[in-house]
Amino acid sequence: MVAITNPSTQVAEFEERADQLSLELIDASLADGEVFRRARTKLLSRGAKLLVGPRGTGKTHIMRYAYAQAMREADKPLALYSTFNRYLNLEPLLKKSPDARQRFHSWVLAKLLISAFDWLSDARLDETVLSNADPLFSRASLAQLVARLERGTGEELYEELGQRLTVDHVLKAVRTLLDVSHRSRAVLLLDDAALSLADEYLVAFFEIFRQLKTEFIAPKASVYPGSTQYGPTFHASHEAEQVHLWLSVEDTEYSQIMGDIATRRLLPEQIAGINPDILELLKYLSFGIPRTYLRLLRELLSSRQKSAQQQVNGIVEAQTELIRAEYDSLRIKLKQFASIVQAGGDLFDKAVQDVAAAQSADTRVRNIVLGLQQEQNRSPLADRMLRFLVEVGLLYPLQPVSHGPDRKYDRYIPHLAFLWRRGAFGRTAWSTGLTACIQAPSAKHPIRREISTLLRAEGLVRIKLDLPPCQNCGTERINESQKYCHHCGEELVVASMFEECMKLPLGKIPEISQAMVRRLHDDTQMRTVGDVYASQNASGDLQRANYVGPVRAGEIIRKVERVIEEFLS
Amino acid sequence: MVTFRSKLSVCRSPVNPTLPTATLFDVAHVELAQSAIDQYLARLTSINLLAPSPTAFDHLQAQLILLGVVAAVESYFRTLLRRLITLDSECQNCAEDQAVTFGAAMHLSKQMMPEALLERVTFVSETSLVDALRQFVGLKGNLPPDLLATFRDYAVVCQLRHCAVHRFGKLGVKNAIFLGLRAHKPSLEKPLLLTYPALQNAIAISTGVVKTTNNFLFNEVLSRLPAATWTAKWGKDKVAFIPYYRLFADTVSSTKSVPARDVYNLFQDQRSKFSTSVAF
Repeated sequence: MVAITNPSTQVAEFEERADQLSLELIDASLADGEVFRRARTKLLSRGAKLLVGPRGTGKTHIMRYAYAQAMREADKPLALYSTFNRYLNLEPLLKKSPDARQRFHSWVLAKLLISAFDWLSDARLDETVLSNADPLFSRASLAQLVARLERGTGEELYEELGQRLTVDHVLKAVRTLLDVSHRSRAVLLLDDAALSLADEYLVAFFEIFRQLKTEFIAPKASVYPGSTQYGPTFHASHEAEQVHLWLSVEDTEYSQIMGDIATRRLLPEQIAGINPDILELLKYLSFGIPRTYLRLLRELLSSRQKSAQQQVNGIVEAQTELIRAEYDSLRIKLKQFASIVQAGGDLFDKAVQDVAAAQSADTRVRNIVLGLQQEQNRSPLADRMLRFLVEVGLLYPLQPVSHGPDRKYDRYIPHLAFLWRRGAFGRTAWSTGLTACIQAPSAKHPIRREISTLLRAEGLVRIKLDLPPCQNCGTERINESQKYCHHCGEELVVASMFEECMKLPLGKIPEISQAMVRRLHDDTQMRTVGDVYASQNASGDLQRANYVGPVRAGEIIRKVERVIEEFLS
Repeated sequence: MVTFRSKLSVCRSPVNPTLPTATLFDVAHVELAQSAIDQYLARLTSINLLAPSPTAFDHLQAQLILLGVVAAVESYFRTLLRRLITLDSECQNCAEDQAVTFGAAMHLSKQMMPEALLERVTFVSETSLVDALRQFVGLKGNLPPDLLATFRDYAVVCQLRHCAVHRFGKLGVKNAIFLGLRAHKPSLEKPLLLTYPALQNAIAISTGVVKTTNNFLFNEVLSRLPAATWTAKWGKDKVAFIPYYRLFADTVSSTKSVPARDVYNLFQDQRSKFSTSVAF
């Protein structure tokens, strides 16, 4: 048994999310390795690009690195950075405002213009050079417009400013900054552009992306894997080059790159205190996701279990449950896909079971790939099911292979932490078995299955949309885009995901104690996430409860905000 | 000199049947007190029931459904404006100097007289819709962007309707110019194939124009009533408030308006916030 000594009693204090890091730290903490080097080059090169990877693969980190690098080096293009992670705040508009798409359009353009102001302030230059360029270029008004659109208000500001913004304004702002910075071209780094939960906005966003592609501007958007089409006018393969950021566990540089990430974000004594075999194991169990690797290390360093095996088992179990919970939360977020998400979960479990059985049967070879036959008549819903698994990071997609006519196979690696927990790499050498298998030669043929053999008949019937029946007559809907009942003619009501989130009771937030919820219930009007979110003075309202002062109120608000962020991401 | 005119027959046409138009209308019909939007929604449900089944979809039948929906929208505008002219004194002021035909003046009831004013008005384009609202409701200044967006989208639906009514669905040059000649050039003189989703979307756009107009005009006419109209007491104010509420309230759909008193309370709340410069 391997013993772990915690380097000290100090808790490892490092931030896993790149959007919370300072630019200086971003600059110093980017790992090397071919995948990242290539991505960095592509972000600052000419031409539109899509930076593809599931959450936690370092898309934000690398974009912010590219931003800082371009700022520092005069021979690089002008780089502007903006993030669209709050797009779902505008989702309720889709249910109640006929011009929601136009408002979203203004929101995107305002965010792009604000990124131009951000560049000036980061470069410590006078912002008036931009505000003098056009009457609509006012940082304060643009920021207010963004904030109000995200809250579903700001009619007047939208009328005065928002609806007048066009892509030409962004081009004009970029030209102004090009003059100021004496650079000949610009890249626009558009982070969190997957917009995976609101198709209408995705289409509108990539329409803007297409218009931004000019001889002097190269837009770069970060997206999730799995999607190939972003609306009727934007085909990923034609319009932009895809840059894959998700590191494959089969990559020859894998161990070195992941090691590099830890070295740059942890103290040397923290790393030195961890057994090298376990460090290596955790690299693979994090499945190419740097954020996961950092989280596993942090939990290991603060684990109170006695034996190393117990420590690793504990944190990996928590990790797999976390990923699974994130995947399962799609059932609540996208109710129409609830059955499909459940079927995908079943398919994944069976795939893990089959691959683990094959791998554990012979650990002298690497046998971690699942081949899934491309059926001629595979439904778009079955494809969507696989895409959900890829988007969350449970399946790593490889290039499809052909085994003869009509026998094409999609290939995936199931998440290694799930295979490991199922004993795929041998139970005896728990800390070294996985690493040894990965380094072994690969098996000649992957495990080959069909969706129908993994799911069987009872699972296959779940590959269907869960559309609520007509609220008037109870007739089942035919498809997702149906707007009127074909039986009684009544307009079909669609629930807003944002409003579902706002309806969550405070008692459902795990980090708020039940005692606190009771006090809030007794002493205040705060009942739901939406009550806290919408309050003009949330802190003051919360402080009406006994034993709640500014600090506790602040904590509750932060917890609520985190829930909203998680729900809507 | 007599000109030669041939007397050949290439198709047989029997005697025309008579069409007693005077008996074709329901003279027993009494105009219901339901709001214009309720009337629209009820009509829409009836039309939707006639829509072809999505599993056996018929493009031609879909075009007829589209015509029905556009007729329902137009009727909504006429009903609403007519009743507004009767109810609202500012709307009456707008209509005062406008002429109606002698026939209308002689034979229409006083309540129906405003309908005669609207006979020359159309509701098929952004301009015609905006003009009608300005002319009969007395709106000034810019109209809100969401309303204009629904007008623009609805004008597209009207173009499709135009193709269906006048050209049996074929796309004419004038329609193509309106819709964007570049994108529609290949479709010139080609028949309209309304799919099930396209028909649903066209109906949703038509309903959108009705609902957005309804919300906008309710706020507009209510807000401009003289401040002296309101005492902030429901018991006294309901006399003035309820006729406006009834004119605009949706009482039939599954997302129906909240009760009059609740709307009134919200209205008074917003008025008092405005007077103390608090955002609402």
